[in-house]
Amino acid sequence: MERFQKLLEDPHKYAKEWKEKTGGKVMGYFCPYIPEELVYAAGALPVRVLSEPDADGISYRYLYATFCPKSRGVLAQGLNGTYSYLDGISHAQCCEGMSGAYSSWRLHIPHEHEWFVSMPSDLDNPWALTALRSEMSALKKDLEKWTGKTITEEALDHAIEVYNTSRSLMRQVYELRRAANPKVTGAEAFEMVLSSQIMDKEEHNKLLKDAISKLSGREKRDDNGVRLMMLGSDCDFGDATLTRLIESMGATIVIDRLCNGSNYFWNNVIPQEDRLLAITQRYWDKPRCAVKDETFRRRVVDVIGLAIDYNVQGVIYNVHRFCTPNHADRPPIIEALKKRFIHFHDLEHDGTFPMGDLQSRIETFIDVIRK
Amino acid sequence: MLIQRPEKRWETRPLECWNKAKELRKQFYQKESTAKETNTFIIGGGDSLGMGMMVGMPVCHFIHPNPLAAEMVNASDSFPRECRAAFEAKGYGHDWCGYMASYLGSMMLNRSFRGGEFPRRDISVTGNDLCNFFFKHGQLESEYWDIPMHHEDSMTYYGEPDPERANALVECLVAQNLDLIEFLEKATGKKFDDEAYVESFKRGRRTGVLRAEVIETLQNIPAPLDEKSGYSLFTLGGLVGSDPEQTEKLWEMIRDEMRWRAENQIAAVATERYRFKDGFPPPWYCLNYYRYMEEYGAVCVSVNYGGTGGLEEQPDGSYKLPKNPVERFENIKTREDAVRAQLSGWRNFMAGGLPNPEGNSERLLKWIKAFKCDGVILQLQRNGIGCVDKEREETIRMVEEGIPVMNWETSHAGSRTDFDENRMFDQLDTFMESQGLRKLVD
Amino acid sequence: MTVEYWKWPEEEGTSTGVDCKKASVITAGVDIGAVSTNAAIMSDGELAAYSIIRTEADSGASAQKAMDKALKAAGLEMGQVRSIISTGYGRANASFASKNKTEIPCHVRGAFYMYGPTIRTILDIGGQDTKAIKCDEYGDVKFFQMNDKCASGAGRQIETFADMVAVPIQDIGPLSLEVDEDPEPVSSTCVTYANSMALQLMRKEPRNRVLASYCFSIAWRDYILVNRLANLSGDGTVEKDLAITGGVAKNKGIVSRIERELGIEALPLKKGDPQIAGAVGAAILAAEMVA
Repeated sequence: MERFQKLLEDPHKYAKEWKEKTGGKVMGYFCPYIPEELVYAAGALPVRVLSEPDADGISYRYLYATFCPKSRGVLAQGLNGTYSYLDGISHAQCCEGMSGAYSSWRLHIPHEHEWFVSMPSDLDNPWALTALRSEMSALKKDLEKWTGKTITEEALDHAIEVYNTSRSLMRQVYELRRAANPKVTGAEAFEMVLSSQIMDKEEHNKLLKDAISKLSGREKRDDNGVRLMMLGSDCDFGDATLTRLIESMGATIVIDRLCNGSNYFWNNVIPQEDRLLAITQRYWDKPRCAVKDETFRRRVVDVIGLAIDYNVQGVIYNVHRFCTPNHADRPPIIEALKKRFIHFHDLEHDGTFPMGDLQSRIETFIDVIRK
Repeated sequence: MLIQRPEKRWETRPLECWNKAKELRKQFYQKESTAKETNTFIIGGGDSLGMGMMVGMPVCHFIHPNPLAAEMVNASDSFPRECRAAFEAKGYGHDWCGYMASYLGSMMLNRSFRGGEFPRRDISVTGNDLCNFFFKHGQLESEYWDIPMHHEDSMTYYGEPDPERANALVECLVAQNLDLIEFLEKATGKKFDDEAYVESFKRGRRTGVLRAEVIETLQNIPAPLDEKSGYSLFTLGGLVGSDPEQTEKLWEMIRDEMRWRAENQIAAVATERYRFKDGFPPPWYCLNYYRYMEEYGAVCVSVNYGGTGGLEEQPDGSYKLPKNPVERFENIKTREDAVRAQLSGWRNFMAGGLPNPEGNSERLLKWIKAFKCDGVILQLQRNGIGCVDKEREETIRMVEEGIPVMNWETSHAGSRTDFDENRMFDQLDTFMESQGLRKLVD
Repeated sequence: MTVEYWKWPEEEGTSTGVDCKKASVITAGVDIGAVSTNAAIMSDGELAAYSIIRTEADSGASAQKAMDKALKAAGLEMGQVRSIISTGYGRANASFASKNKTEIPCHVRGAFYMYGPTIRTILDIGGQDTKAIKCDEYGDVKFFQMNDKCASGAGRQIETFADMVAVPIQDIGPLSLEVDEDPEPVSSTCVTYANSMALQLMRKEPRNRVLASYCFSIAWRDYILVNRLANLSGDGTVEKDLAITGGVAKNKGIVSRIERELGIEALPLKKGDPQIAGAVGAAILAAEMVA
């Protein structure tokens, strides 16, 4: 399991080596509503732009203080050259924070290719689905022009298969966490998901299969502590620090509904004749994040369902400061948790994790659950 | 020079259209307060089709949260504060948009700032591209009242104009808006009056032209209208939907008055010697900041609710009305024609509704040149990210172009918390002094 | 001589009628906070003595100093104490402690003892953070909320303000009440904004009105926090009885405004000092460990 953590220690190493080895193009993306299968089918490597706290404040010149730490961290990574190996950059319409970061990124950090997916927010609307399907066609043409490669049906089928395999394997890992004594910790699972977002999934799938086969022989832990769920804004700043910290205090995070966690892989592409429609449908049907759950609320039901399935005792609702959509969803989710007597605690952070403060809160929260 | 006296005094007069404008605004609010008696459906929110919807469906009265919240904070400090506290106490973040927090808090307290209970909403409509908060508020509203909700998307992209791509996105919006009409029919049990809507759409185009003609006059020195007055006027026919026929007549009146003022050098500010543009939205709780600037002979030549809508850029950098601005709409016959025309014209598909620092900065520079501005004041709002998604980049661009620019930090326009009036005025003093100006003394 | 208006008085106290020499079990608690370090000595479950000092750069040394003062006040030596629990942010640095415990449950136990077992809502306004806690009839934590990421509503803010307005910190509360009507509060979001606004206000408002506005802003923030606790943990009703602890609980100007906005009178203190709830609670939990 340590190899996934190791991959994240230098999250750029793989992509750089891949580029050198294959001569291929690397496309960074901000939001997982980007149809990665299309990019992959074009022969490019999609990698997620991970955020790190903007300690130097380099992003403040371009983004005012009320942008969330994640958007700020992403832009800072671009400005300081960390992602200079990217050939292209892409984003899908989501929250204003990330859209702001993208708009400044594309202005100040030129790439040979950029693409913005007009991802609708009314995901109950059939015309919006049609519009998204047309976006896929436009993106396909654009990718072909950029890479000089025709995206064939075979290439699409292959990409769909690779991605579906990745998702199915991650679902297997997450299924193991339903057990009373899960053999994989939340931090480990999170590292597996996160590392899949920075490398070729075909290779990552091999690592996953190997890790899963070894998990069955793993010894059970004596005390898994209380069973927790993570919700809210992305909690990565490139690694599983927060998850690990929480788990060190007498808990196991058994499930999450995070953008860069379970949301990322939860559902597969269901193959159909119109491959682009199949891919469109997959992203359409993905568990909704806060910013895309704007009409008939599905997220609450989804979260409660997961909490029941995974026998969750408590939920940590972790929100970045200035994360609009997650702040908006917090009260209705909390109301639903209350009705089911599931404990919860809301955390807010600005990209830094003051240990003393966090420890006090989490320990007390765990104590309350235990009682 | 410590003492400065006005070098020139323009003639100035109160606006003749002012009382008529007040009357129309009052009419709009009366519709809300008499909704029960008149069996009117109060609709929280707004959509792309604007006033046309109310004409086609007169039983519906749209109330947009933003002007309501702006009025709240303008009228009182303590009441919006209590509203926001009630909202925050429910678990919503402190960083919520001030408009929405004030509006939704007022709803949760069941108190209207005009006295009495908060008028119940019957339907919630959220639309177009304002911001995440605006989108999300519709959900909260519809759940709170347990009312139907309709949602219109914001479909746009960055990059070079791509007609095929744009067309696909427009089709989605057209379909959603046609669906909105059917949705309102189901929700109200009334039939939509297509003929009235088409007529209203054309009237709306004509009104739009009148508004553009008013904006055109602001290029004049002295400016015939200042921004503070402009805000009160420019909501009419947009965010504040009063009777369309009267609204069109009012705009004719305003247009004629502004043209006359421009031709006869009647100024909004008698001592005009400095012209500036400011950001949006302004501090609704401290609109006297415009009057404060007038003490320096500075006039805000900016119509943030109008932009340069309907005007075309000329080779010399000025803005003028295009030829035949309304004739192309004369062939609009059906509901769909009107919806399609409204959306195709309205949407700017170069990242309309998205942060677009490049495009916004270009537009700002053009405005400054055309409207002969000497400087720019851009506020940085501590809440409501949608209101501050481009200001930093615009500031950088202004500095690069050598345009005097000032930033000042404030709480959100819809929230007076964190607003330090004294500090703001100190900053304005410093900025004006950097421009070589002192307050004028007679 | 430079006057340090922010410097609140350090103190020690003893309880009358509590004879440590006759005690079977002596336990202690030390609460090492960001602003103050407090120690409490419990003698067979009764508060015998306590101390409150300002936390210095070395929190371990502060813990020792506070403990020494409390022991001296009680007439005891360290060796006579059966068990010590440390709490607060610096709890890991009290080398003499038998164990450390997170401060929220300690505060609840301490408040239970100091205000009475009828309390169900506790608002602890400390030096660097503010907590609103709901407890049950056994003195256990049911739910809690904390201020997010700012010193707003906390004691450090008052310290900076005292120096800024040149008013001794202990006088701010009483003077703030000498106004006919409260002006609008300054910023509740951030200390920097609040102080900046207060400074500007001083240019045109009488001093007491500035103090009133400032105290109101802190009280307003805490009022929202308590309401949020009530909403997220129940039906929105603040469960009585209410206790207000922490150093800022000694500021009558803030406390009375919190009570006014909530429409609830907080329970009066029965034993000790509002600032030592964490230390008292730690000492009580230490006694449970011994038992």
